[in-house]
Amino acid sequence: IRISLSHEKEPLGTAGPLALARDLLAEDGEPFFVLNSDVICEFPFAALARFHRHHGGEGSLAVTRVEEPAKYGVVVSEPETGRICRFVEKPRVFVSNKINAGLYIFSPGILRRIQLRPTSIEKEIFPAMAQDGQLYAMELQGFWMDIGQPKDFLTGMCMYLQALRAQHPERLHSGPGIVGNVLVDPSAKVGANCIIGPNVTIGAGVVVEDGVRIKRCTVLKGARIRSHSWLESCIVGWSCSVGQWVRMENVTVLGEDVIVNDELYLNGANVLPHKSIAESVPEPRIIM
Amino acid sequence: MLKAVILIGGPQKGTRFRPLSFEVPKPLFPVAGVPMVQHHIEACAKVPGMKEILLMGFYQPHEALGRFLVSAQQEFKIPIRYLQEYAALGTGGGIYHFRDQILSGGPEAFFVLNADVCSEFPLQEMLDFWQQHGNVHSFVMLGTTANRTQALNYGCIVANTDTHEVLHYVEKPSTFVSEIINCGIYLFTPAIFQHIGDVFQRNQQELVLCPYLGEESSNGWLRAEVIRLEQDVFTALAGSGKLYVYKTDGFWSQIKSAGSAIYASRLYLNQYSQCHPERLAQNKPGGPIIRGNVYIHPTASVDSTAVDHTCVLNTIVGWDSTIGRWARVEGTPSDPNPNDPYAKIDSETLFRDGRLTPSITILGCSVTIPAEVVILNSIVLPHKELSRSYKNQIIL
Repeated sequence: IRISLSHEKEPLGTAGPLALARDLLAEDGEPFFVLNSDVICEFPFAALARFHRHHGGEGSLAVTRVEEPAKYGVVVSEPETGRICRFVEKPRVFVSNKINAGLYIFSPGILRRIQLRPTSIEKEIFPAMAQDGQLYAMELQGFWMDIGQPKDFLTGMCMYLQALRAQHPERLHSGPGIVGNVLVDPSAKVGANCIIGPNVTIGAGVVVEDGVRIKRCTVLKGARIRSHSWLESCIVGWSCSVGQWVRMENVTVLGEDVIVNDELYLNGANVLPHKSIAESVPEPRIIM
Repeated sequence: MLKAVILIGGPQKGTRFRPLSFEVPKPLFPVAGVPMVQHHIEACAKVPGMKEILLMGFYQPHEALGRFLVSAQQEFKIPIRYLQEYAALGTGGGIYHFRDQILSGGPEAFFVLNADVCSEFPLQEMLDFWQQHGNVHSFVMLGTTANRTQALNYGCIVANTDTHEVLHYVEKPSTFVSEIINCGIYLFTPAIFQHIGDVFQRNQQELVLCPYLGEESSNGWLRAEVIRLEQDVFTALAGSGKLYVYKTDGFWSQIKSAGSAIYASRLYLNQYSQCHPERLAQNKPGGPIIRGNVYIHPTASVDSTAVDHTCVLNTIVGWDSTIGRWARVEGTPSDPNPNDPYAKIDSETLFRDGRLTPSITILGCSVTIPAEVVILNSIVLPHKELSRSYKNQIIL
């Protein structure tokens, strides 16, 4: 598959980059997908394409149902056709529980609406398209998560693993000391008397020493977790070294190449790369 | 011949030591592996000429106390008796009340030691100093150096730099007086009872003059017998040529709060490493890894597979408590500033700005900590079974 790179010299917002790549996108006159990279879901491309061709409008966007719609922008659409009537940003009273999932498919005609300048597709392009009756919403099936924040990243990870259990259970790890949905790279090593999971992903070349308990974490490539440590809801960055008898919890995030000394307690610590941690962090804070 | 009196207080005193003092009286709480006052007794028994040790306090006769007296006598081969005050009579009132017992047998001098201090106990040096400087009817107080701010929490001693005579004494002043502080360890001669008796007479006269200072008459009679050595006797003796201070640089600390018990433990364990290395645990192949000074009771077993990945730091774990696997039990040490050679342990208040001051974590007796939780800077009262993590709390 051909992969092309369109590079913005200045940030062009969420619509401007489409104008920048105009030639690549309109090349064959076929509709094209647009995705936000910090969204994770089951990516129903085929269903979305079918939906888009069926209604014949200029654009389709995926919507997902959330529990707290007021945190996002909600989409109000006609129930039978899915035609979008309007958008409401962070409504104070309940309007709808469907929000923009950040996954679109457009016909090339949309490029007429977008100029080459910093432009927000949600604020400037979509409302006009909705006014013209050219924008339709398709409800997403399956999981969806905006994983831009570490806390939400871990939630999204759990959702992803759960979907994997339903669709490709053979890819998940099993064995002594593995609990629930756990993904372990074949090159990683897990020691004796560990309990890993539920909801853990272990990257390539990771070494987990004896007697370690890990729950709801992502451990990135090359990291080492030394013996007797206990981790819950953490993201351990590439090549980190976590000492013995360490306790890390509450969305502690270690950047690349962070060293955590033995016997420390990290509670909600956000540690920037290449730091060495020699003291406990009992309350959430950022270590620069 | 010599004697020693150890003041052990009673249940109403030493309440800052709770909840550790719920199970055993504070003077019997183990510090560096043995009851707090055993360190005093060992030091006294070593002094040649020591004929009897008297424990004095107002605890009711107590099974643990009784058993301790029996075993201590057997170990140190010296008579040890418990004299029970009928009420809290103060640091001076008790010895005055029992002066006949103390003076029976005709000791030329006797030591008085507070039980709630941890010290190198330079008793022989105090004796030598007393004999050498000339005045056989004088009394000696053990002093040590504190830093200027912390000295205000103790009894402050101003002394002549050549003769070491105490010129001025003030208990817990509000402004700086001196860096030399009272260690709570004294060497008295029988003449001390004359001075305490004077205080007693004065108290009685005051009562005659103002009998109804808002208290009932039965308490009033008791008030005359309550005599504090520090405020009532030493303050008056200062400048009279009868009171001297022997300054020591050896280790010394008060043991008021639970946190100070851990610090005192460290001081004694350090002493063991120099004078009694056989008392410390040694690294053995296949056994637990020993780092630094560690005391393991002969009947304790440390089994690395059973301990199961727990991390216990700066904590006192009470009798019969259990800690689940991967649990973390942690306190904050309140040790004195290691960069200041004269810094003493702070006797912090329990709360500061409405929050619990971070300190040693204490698990009372028979506390159950479940697996995988964190207990941080908390005090757990006896017989609690916890079900979740706790931080900076007192769990009743």
